[in-house]
Amino acid sequence: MTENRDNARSRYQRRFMLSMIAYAVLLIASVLALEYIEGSELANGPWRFALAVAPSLPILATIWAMGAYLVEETDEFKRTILAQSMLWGVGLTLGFTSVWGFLEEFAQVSRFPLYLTFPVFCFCMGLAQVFVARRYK
Amino acid sequence: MRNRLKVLRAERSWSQADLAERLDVSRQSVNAIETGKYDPSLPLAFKIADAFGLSIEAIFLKDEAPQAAE
Repeated sequence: MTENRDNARSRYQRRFMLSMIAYAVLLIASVLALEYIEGSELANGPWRFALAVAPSLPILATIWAMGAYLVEETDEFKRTILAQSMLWGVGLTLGFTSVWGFLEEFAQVSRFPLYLTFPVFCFCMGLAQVFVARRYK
Repeated sequence: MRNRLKVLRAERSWSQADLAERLDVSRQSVNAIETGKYDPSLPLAFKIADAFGLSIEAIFLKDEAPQAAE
Protein backbone atom coordinates (compact mmCIF):
# COMPACT_ATOMS: atom_id res chain seq x y z
CA MET A 1 0.00 0.00 0.00
CA THR A 2 3.10 2.16 -0.10
CA GLU A 3 1.92 2.44 -3.67
CA ASN A 4 -1.24 4.27 -2.63
CA ARG A 5 0.76 6.85 -0.75
CA ASP A 6 3.06 7.51 -3.67
CA ASN A 7 0.10 7.54 -5.98
CA ALA A 8 -1.57 10.40 -4.12
CA ARG A 9 1.55 12.51 -4.47
CA SER A 10 2.29 11.60 -8.08
CA ARG A 11 -1.38 12.12 -8.96
CA TYR A 12 -1.09 15.60 -7.46
CA GLN A 13 2.14 16.33 -9.32
CA ARG A 14 0.63 15.15 -12.59
CA ARG A 15 -2.50 17.26 -12.10
CA PHE A 16 -0.37 20.25 -11.11
CA MET A 17 1.85 19.94 -14.19
CA LEU A 18 -1.14 19.54 -16.51
CA SER A 19 -2.81 22.60 -14.98
CA MET A 20 0.34 24.66 -15.39
CA ILE A 21 0.70 23.63 -19.03
CA ALA A 22 -2.97 24.45 -19.65
CA TYR A 23 -2.44 27.77 -17.89
CA ALA A 24 0.52 28.73 -20.07
CA VAL A 25 -1.31 27.72 -23.25
CA LEU A 26 -4.57 29.47 -22.33
CA LEU A 27 -2.79 32.60 -21.14
CA ILE A 28 -0.86 33.01 -24.39
CA ALA A 29 -3.91 32.09 -26.49
CA SER A 30 -6.13 34.54 -24.60
CA VAL A 31 -3.69 37.42 -24.85
CA LEU A 32 -3.25 36.82 -28.58
CA ALA A 33 -6.99 36.44 -29.14
CA LEU A 34 -7.75 39.58 -27.15
CA GLU A 35 -5.22 41.51 -29.23
CA TYR A 36 -6.79 40.09 -32.36
CA ILE A 37 -10.36 41.13 -31.53
CA GLU A 38 -9.30 44.54 -30.21
CA GLY A 39 -11.11 47.25 -32.12
CA SER A 40 -13.69 44.90 -33.57
CA GLU A 41 -17.24 44.62 -32.23
CA LEU A 42 -16.28 41.30 -30.60
CA ALA A 43 -14.08 43.25 -28.20
CA ASN A 44 -17.06 44.33 -26.12
CA GLY A 45 -19.16 41.21 -26.24
CA PRO A 46 -19.23 38.07 -24.14
CA TRP A 47 -16.15 36.83 -26.01
CA ARG A 48 -14.06 39.32 -24.15
CA PHE A 49 -15.26 37.89 -20.81
CA ALA A 50 -14.71 34.35 -21.96
CA LEU A 51 -11.16 35.10 -23.10
CA ALA A 52 -10.40 37.05 -19.95
CA VAL A 53 -11.61 34.24 -17.70
CA ALA A 54 -9.98 31.40 -19.65
CA PRO A 55 -6.48 31.55 -18.04
CA SER A 56 -8.03 31.43 -14.56
CA LEU A 57 -9.70 28.06 -15.16
CA PRO A 58 -6.45 26.05 -14.85
CA ILE A 59 -5.76 27.98 -11.63
CA LEU A 60 -9.09 26.69 -10.29
CA ALA A 61 -8.00 23.22 -11.35
CA THR A 62 -4.73 23.67 -9.43
CA ILE A 63 -6.61 24.71 -6.29
CA TRP A 64 -8.82 21.64 -6.67
CA ALA A 65 -5.71 19.45 -7.13
CA MET A 66 -4.26 20.77 -3.87
CA GLY A 67 -7.48 20.01 -2.03
CA ALA A 68 -7.71 16.58 -3.64
CA TYR A 69 -4.15 15.78 -2.57
CA LEU A 70 -4.99 16.70 1.01
CA VAL A 71 -7.92 14.27 0.87
CA GLU A 72 -6.10 11.50 -1.02
CA GLU A 73 -2.84 11.47 0.95
CA THR A 74 -3.04 8.34 3.11
CA ASP A 75 -0.16 9.27 5.42
CA GLU A 76 -1.83 11.17 8.26
CA PHE A 77 1.43 12.77 9.38
CA LYS A 78 2.04 14.22 5.91
CA ARG A 79 -1.58 15.32 5.81
CA THR A 80 -1.11 17.14 9.12
CA ILE A 81 1.98 18.98 7.86
CA LEU A 82 0.19 19.90 4.65
CA ALA A 83 -2.96 21.12 6.45
CA GLN A 84 -0.94 23.23 8.89
CA SER A 85 1.11 24.69 6.04
CA MET A 86 -2.08 25.53 4.16
CA LEU A 87 -3.47 27.32 7.21
CA TRP A 88 -0.24 29.29 7.56
CA GLY A 89 -0.48 30.09 3.85
CA VAL A 90 -4.06 31.33 4.26
CA GLY A 91 -3.16 33.43 7.30
CA LEU A 92 -0.09 34.99 5.73
CA THR A 93 -1.93 35.70 2.47
CA LEU A 94 -4.87 37.32 4.25
CA GLY A 95 -2.44 39.35 6.35
CA PHE A 96 -0.45 40.44 3.31
CA THR A 97 -3.50 41.46 1.26
CA SER A 98 -5.06 43.29 4.23
CA VAL A 99 -1.92 45.35 4.85
CA TRP A 100 -1.48 46.02 1.14
CA GLY A 101 -5.14 47.00 0.82
CA PHE A 102 -4.80 49.72 3.42
CA LEU A 103 -1.56 50.91 1.84
CA GLU A 104 -3.43 51.22 -1.46
CA GLU A 105 -6.30 53.05 0.18
CA PHE A 106 -4.36 55.51 2.30
CA ALA A 107 -0.77 55.60 1.06
CA GLN A 108 -1.27 55.56 -2.72
CA VAL A 109 0.71 52.35 -3.08
CA SER A 110 0.20 50.81 -6.52
CA ARG A 111 -2.70 48.38 -6.96
CA PHE A 112 -2.00 44.74 -6.15
CA PRO A 113 -3.10 42.49 -9.05
CA LEU A 114 -5.65 40.11 -7.56
CA TYR A 115 -4.61 37.24 -9.83
CA LEU A 116 -1.33 37.19 -7.89
CA THR A 117 -3.16 36.27 -4.68
CA PHE A 118 -2.92 32.54 -5.41
CA PRO A 119 0.82 32.62 -6.23
CA VAL A 120 1.32 34.57 -2.99
CA PHE A 121 -0.61 31.85 -1.14
CA CYS A 122 1.50 29.12 -2.78
CA PHE A 123 4.69 30.92 -1.85
CA CYS A 124 3.58 31.42 1.76
CA MET A 125 2.43 27.80 2.01
CA GLY A 126 5.69 26.51 0.58
CA LEU A 127 7.66 28.62 3.01
CA ALA A 128 5.49 27.50 5.92
CA GLN A 129 5.95 23.85 4.94
CA VAL A 130 9.69 24.13 5.63
CA PHE A 131 9.10 25.47 9.13
CA VAL A 132 6.17 23.21 9.96
CA ALA A 133 8.13 20.12 8.88
CA ARG A 134 11.12 21.23 10.92
CA ARG A 135 8.95 21.33 14.04
CA TYR A 136 8.50 17.56 13.84
CA LYS A 137 12.16 16.75 13.22
CA MET B 1 3.41 11.75 23.76
CA ARG B 2 6.01 9.47 25.32
CA ASN B 3 6.25 5.98 23.90
CA ARG B 4 8.35 2.83 23.82
CA LEU B 5 8.59 2.55 20.04
CA LYS B 6 12.36 2.78 19.88
CA VAL B 7 12.85 0.00 22.45
CA LEU B 8 10.19 -2.19 20.89
CA ARG B 9 11.76 -1.72 17.47
CA ALA B 10 15.20 -2.57 18.80
CA GLU B 11 13.86 -5.76 20.40
CA ARG B 12 12.68 -6.87 16.99
CA SER B 13 15.65 -5.37 15.09
CA TRP B 14 13.28 -3.32 12.96
CA SER B 15 14.51 -0.09 11.42
CA GLN B 16 12.18 2.92 11.26
CA ALA B 17 11.74 2.10 7.60
CA ASP B 18 10.74 -1.50 8.44
CA LEU B 19 8.10 -0.30 10.87
CA ALA B 20 6.93 2.35 8.41
CA GLU B 21 6.40 -0.31 5.79
CA ARG B 22 4.41 -2.50 8.18
CA LEU B 23 2.23 0.48 9.09
CA ASP B 24 1.92 1.75 5.53
CA VAL B 25 3.16 5.22 6.48
CA SER B 26 6.29 7.22 5.68
CA ARG B 27 9.52 6.80 7.64
CA GLN B 28 9.22 10.45 8.67
CA SER B 29 5.90 9.60 10.32
CA VAL B 30 7.49 6.84 12.38
CA ASN B 31 10.31 9.17 13.37
CA ALA B 32 7.92 11.98 14.40
CA ILE B 33 5.80 9.56 16.44
CA GLU B 34 8.83 7.90 18.02
CA THR B 35 10.35 11.22 19.12
CA GLY B 36 7.01 12.15 20.66
CA LYS B 37 6.52 15.14 18.38
CA TYR B 38 3.51 13.79 16.56
CA ASP B 39 0.66 11.95 18.25
CA PRO B 40 -0.84 9.34 15.95
CA SER B 41 -4.58 9.09 15.42
CA LEU B 42 -6.40 6.33 17.26
CA PRO B 43 -6.65 4.12 14.15
CA LEU B 44 -2.88 4.44 13.55
CA ALA B 45 -2.18 3.81 17.25
CA PHE B 46 -4.16 0.56 16.98
CA LYS B 47 -2.22 -0.34 13.86
CA ILE B 48 1.06 0.24 15.71
CA ALA B 49 -0.20 -1.86 18.61
CA ASP B 50 -1.14 -4.66 16.20
CA ALA B 51 2.28 -4.51 14.54
CA PHE B 52 3.93 -5.18 17.90
CA GLY B 53 1.22 -7.51 19.17
CA LEU B 54 0.70 -5.29 22.21
CA SER B 55 -2.01 -3.04 23.57
CA ILE B 56 -1.85 0.71 22.95
CA GLU B 57 -1.19 1.34 26.66
CA ALA B 58 1.87 -0.89 26.50
CA ILE B 59 3.36 1.37 23.84
CA PHE B 60 2.14 4.90 24.56
CA LEU B 61 2.62 6.37 28.01
CA LYS B 62 0.91 9.16 29.87
CA ASP B 63 3.11 12.24 29.96
CA GLU B 64 2.35 13.06 33.59
CA ALA B 65 3.43 9.70 35.01
CA PRO B 66 6.99 9.11 33.79
CA GLN B 67 8.01 6.92 36.75
CA ALA B 68 5.11 4.53 36.17
CA ALA B 69 6.13 4.28 32.57
CA GLU B 70 9.30 2.26 32.65
